[in-house]
Amino acid sequence: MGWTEKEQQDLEKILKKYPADRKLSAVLPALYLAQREKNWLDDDDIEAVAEALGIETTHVHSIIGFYTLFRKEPVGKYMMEVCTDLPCALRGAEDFFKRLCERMGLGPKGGTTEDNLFTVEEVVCIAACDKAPCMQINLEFFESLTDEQIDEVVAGLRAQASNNGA
Amino acid sequence: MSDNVTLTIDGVQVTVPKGTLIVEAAKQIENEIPVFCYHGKMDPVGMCRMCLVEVGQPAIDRGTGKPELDEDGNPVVRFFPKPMTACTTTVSEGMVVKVDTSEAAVDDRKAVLEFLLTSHPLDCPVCDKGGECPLQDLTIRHGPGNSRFDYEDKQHFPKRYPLGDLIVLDMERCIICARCVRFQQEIAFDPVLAIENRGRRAHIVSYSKPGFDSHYSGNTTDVCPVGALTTRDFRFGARAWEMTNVPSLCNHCGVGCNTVLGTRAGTIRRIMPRQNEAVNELWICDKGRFGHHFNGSPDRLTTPLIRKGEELVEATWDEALSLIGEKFGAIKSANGADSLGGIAGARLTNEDLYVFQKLFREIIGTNNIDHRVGLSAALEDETAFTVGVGVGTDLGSVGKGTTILNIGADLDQDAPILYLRVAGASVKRGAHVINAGGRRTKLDAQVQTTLRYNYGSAARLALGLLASVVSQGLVAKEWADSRTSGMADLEKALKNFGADKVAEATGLTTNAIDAAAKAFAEAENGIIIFGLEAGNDPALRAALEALALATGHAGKPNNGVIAVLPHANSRGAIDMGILPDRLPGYKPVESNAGLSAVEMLTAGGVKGLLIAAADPAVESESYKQALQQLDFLVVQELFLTETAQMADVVLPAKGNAERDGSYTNLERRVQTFDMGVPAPGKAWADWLIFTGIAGQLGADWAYASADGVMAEITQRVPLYAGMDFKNLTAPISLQRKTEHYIYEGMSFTTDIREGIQWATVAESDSAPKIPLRFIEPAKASSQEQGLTLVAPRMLYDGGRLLAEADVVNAHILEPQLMLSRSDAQKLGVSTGDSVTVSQNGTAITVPVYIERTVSEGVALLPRNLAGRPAEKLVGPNGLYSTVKVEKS
Amino acid sequence: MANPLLKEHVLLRHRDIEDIHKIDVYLAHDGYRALEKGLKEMTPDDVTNVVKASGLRGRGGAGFPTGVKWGFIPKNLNPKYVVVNADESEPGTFKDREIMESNPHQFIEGVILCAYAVGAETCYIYGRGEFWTLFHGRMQEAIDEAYEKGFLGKNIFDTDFSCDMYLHLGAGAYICGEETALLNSLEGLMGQPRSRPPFPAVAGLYAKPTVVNNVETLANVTPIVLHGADWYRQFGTEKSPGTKICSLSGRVNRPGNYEVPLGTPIRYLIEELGGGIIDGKAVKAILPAGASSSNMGADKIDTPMDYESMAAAGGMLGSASFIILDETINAVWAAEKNVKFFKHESCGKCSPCREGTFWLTSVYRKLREGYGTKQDVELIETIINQMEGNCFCLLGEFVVPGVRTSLELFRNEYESLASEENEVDQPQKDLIHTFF
Ligand SMILES: Cc1cc2nc3c(=O)[nH]c(=O)nc-3n(C[C@H](O)[C@H](O)[C@H](O)COP(=O)(O)O)c2cc1C
Ligand code: SF4
Ligand code: FES
Repeated sequence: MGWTEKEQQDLEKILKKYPADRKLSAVLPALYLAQREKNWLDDDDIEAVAEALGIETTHVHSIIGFYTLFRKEPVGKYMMEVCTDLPCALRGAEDFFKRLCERMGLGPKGGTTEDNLFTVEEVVCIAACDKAPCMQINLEFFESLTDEQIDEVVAGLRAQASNNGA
Repeated sequence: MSDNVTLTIDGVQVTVPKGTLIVEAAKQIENEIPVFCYHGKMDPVGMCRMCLVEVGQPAIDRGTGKPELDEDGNPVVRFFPKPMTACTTTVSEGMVVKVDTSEAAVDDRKAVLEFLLTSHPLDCPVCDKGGECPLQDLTIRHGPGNSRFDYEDKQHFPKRYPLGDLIVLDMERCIICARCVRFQQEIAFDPVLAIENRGRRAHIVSYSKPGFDSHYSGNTTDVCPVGALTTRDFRFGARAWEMTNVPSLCNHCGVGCNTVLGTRAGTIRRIMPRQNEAVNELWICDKGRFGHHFNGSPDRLTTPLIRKGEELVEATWDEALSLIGEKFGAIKSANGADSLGGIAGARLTNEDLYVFQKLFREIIGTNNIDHRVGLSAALEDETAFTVGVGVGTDLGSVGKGTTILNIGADLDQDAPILYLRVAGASVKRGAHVINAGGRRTKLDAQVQTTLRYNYGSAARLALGLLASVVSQGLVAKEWADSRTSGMADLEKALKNFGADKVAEATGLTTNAIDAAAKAFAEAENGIIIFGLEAGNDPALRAALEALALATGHAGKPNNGVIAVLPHANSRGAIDMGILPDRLPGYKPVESNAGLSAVEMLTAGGVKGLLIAAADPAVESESYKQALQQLDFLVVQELFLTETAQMADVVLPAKGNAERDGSYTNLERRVQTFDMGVPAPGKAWADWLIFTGIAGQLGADWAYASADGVMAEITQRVPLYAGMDFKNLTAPISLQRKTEHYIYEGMSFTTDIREGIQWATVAESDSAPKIPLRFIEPAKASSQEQGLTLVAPRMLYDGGRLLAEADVVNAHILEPQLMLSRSDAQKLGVSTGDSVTVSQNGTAITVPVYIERTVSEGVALLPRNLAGRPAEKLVGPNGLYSTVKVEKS
Repeated sequence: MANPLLKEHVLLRHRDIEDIHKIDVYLAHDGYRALEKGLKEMTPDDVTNVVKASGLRGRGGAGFPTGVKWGFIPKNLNPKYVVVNADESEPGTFKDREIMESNPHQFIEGVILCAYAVGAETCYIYGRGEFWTLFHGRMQEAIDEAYEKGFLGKNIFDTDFSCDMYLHLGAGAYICGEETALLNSLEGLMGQPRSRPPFPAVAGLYAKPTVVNNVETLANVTPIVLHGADWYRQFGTEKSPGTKICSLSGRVNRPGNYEVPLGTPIRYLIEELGGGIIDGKAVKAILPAGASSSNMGADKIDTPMDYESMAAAGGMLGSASFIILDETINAVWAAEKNVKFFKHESCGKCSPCREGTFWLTSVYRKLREGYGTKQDVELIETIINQMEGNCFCLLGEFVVPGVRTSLELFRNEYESLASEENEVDQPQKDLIHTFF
């Protein structure tokens, strides 16, 4: 990929947070930066992170594999991560998830919509248990959701995406 | 306070140093606590939980601060509520450990094994590790007997997944002990393996390009306690228990790694490391492990050949030897003894070389002998005799307080296991390593100080360091005075090597030079290593010798000089006097020094030549022409090399797996190897061939074995006194074995031998004083325009011995010019483009490769590659030259 | 929202004072006065001592006395670090998020005081990756404000003390809440726990002395320094002083965070603050510390919420994340949810946790899918016995109490799922997992 100028600046800002000989500390922030554009990391992105920090590519892969918020496979522009862990499940999150999948035209386990705009998946607890059903869309919280609200949010994002595309 | 701690393990008392881990303490009393992730050479991690034991400590009365006693007056022991991992827990005074005597701990270990087996496939019958598998062994000893786990419900991973060309991963067998990952990180300093994902989905990966990019990858198959990692080479090669394990030595470089040949039905099935803590610890490099296929090659010479016109035709030994006797005899009587000469390569054994020089010196009557062709001609060393590292030196143990100065050796390429030990001394044990070189090498990442000098200025750097030691008042005066002579003259000569001048010549700062000199001089132990890329310069060697002597870093263990000589027995070749001007044992030839190899290989040098284990014809066109003009050429070889194809008589020699003998490594350690497999056809050991030729020329030698030759060497060469085969092959004592030797994770056994180092002059109180030498360095070449072309050595080169190792072949470079990105941009070329490299009318065309590690202004073209393009430009013995590079 | 047990909130002050996340509002309500007092009037040791005297215990779960922990930091090794554990990933826990979203300055002030007390000049706040918007928004803004006002940076309040504070995000791994795994993660490694010793106090971040404290813990430090230990001890019990934020979730009418004096009975939390159980059903079980805790039966509802009483009742206070199950909930289903959580989050470092959680999930699944047998129920017991005490870190150990108490209290529900018919071999093709 190669960093854009803006990203290069961000990267430098990130590196300033850590001691000069501890560049490795910046691997998670650097990966967030590399993933920001398309929500997942291809080989070039990974290589760019390895080079920027002067570390082995293998190590970067290992980090990506350990942490669930990084992805090496293409996903939708909007990651919808619905909590179905016990506290939320006690308040109907599992059914909510099923309904959401149906509304998005996806199978019961979620997946990516045909237009590649949305990926819906179940996640474990996201610290919003009192506001079930809840989810994150690209790491932004959406809480105490009703089906209707979802429709609104989805419609909003669709509109946003087509505006950006135009 | 005492530094020892006494504890009780399963009722047995043992006293060990403070800080010892329980698992190690238990080993001392032969209580083998089962482990998977623990490995004595790596930091403990406590992951696998196999070593759980019950641990108790004497209870201390809160009120009195004294140990609580029970009714019988015995200390009350309080056990921790949870079991502890013996591999991460250090001992303490009065500790009580229950391994087998605690039912709970026995059950805990059973539980762990049952857990591990839940994901393990049932493919022992087809697994290469079968028969020497710690998981198998420990399951039988400690396992639960049966598992209640649902066998249908296992995690599946791809079988036979190649991690690189050399290593295959069977992830289903992996128990995530991370030994391989840790080996690569902590010991090889090539962190190209990692665990990806987590929990049950965790698996081993390598994403380097090429995959598993490390010279040490094979060792991971040894440390793997299951059959998850196997070598591509040995897969399904033989069952462990069917093989005979023969103690051997690696013959690929000067380190002298101890190996085991796993043989079966007369062939080598695999090579594994054999532990020698003073040499290779538990490791060997991939060249040593995989580079054995030449032995069984169908191309091996099997019978003597005699030239009939254009053809080389098969002959008997009698015919061949008598023809040699006749021709050599005739040349000698017509032109004198000095019209004959011999060149012997440094991969021959001490026994071969001793007989070789005796043949020429005593029977033929000439000093025209040499071993310096090919790589051997590019680096010489005589300093070992005076200031070689002291007997008992162990790079695997030096650390804080030791400074290691490396000049011009790319250890990862030139002497891989030495690299591990030097890097380990720095990273793990806190030695101060100063890495001086003309370009970036892998070691730079592991050391505190790097000095980047201009090619050609290494001798000036050495003199600058010496001068700085003097001017900073850091000379170890008393010691130096008692052992050396000529200090005053040397100091005078050093006036011309003030820091300013040296800084200018080398491109370093005066501060850097002074700091390095100080770090070296003030260290408790000082070791100097030098190699090929420092240049083959007597001025350098004299300076380094003086540096060691002036600072008192000679004559004792962990002090002195190591030359990184290229071949398995380069040191032995010098020791045995395979030089025109030096007899065995570093005795100068009194009056009539002979011709050097280069001189013999110049047209008109000699008329008859015997070449053993060397292939000058590939080195240079001019050598080839000289060989063509000989009246008679005899070549003793494993293969029909280019030189052999030009011979009048070709004699088939045995490879080192096919015979016994001794090599002397670069730390002067004489070590022996045994015969593992039969030789092809009618090949003979080289010493026997030389004996046969001598016989034709009238000698009546009666050597019956290598061992017999060594017996004579011990008589005639004082340095080797006492080194007969009985001593050299004696396995180490049981006590030393339990003290220092671990064989972690390897279930096979072979002899552990330590070899014997000969003592240097500096080690002897009674030896005459060593004259300090000063040699003026050659004038720096005029500042020509262009790039500095350097011809380093690569571990994987185009040498004949590696050519048969298919698995390694992919790693041998095609000739290519490695450039820095900025130089490439200046030339307007990128990777893959062709360039013409020229110098004084010689020009070659090679592709370009942009390489991160190359400094600006330098172009690398490794030597010993197909077609020898580098040698064409720098000369067969040269290291660097200024060249013009153009896009072609 | 009024809380009858507290006149004013100590931690959730935003519930009493609107917009306290804004620095001006915060300053108008004693903001950064504790810092000023600490820096100008107290030595670092004084600060540590008042925290010791207050009896404040870590709110991250383990309940270790905070002042004592600070006292372990060696004086002569530099640099030192303060690392704040804002990983908040225990299912049922959502208190730190509320503090950082709504009352960030009180927390930040506490962090700076901690740094002053132990002699650290660099603080990292490690938050779970899901706090991305919070960390890039409200928290970063609050830190920027603090820098602007000179509460962070060089020579704070014109003293010699300087302090920098950085936010660092994890990326989705519960284990990174374990303090040594957190440190590894912050160093750029996989978030796997380290073995102890050495403890972080001696060799933590970058092998330097490091204090690791929870967000809520440090938010307590500010009022303690300002008002003193005695003031703080008016709340709570002798051994568990102060107030605690309880995250209440599950089958109650009003889930949410409630700050109560330690020692308040669970019943008060559920019935008064939480508005009782949905549809007036009966409590079936209480998980007092998220997925990691044992199931407390309905008979334990009067247990006071303090560290000692909870432990005595067979539970633990932990981070006080009360997940409430009611009689409509199947116990096996609930336990399976948690077991799956741990399987998903096991870091894979040690065998008992890695394999045990995997094995447990298959047995639970077998039961749920109707293939289970009585032996499988026993097997569950065996597996947790084999895990207990044998894991590298507490994550693996956390699996045990929930499963064990679920079995103890609701064994009949397990056995009703197991069928004798299944004693013979069943086709289990669909149980084969594949990977890649
Ligand atoms: C698996 C595991 C997860 C943990 N998660 C958290 C967490 O999310 N937040 C937290 O503050 N402490 C968590 N802890 C506790 C920390 O290890 C540590 O005890 C705590 O941060 C210390 O801070 P305190 O003394 O202020 O409580 C966790 C512990 C374990 C074993
Ligand atoms: S118990 Fe073991 S596998 Fe589980 S999280 Fe801890 S170290 Fe990792
Ligand atoms: S945990 Fe001790 S050997 Fe693995």
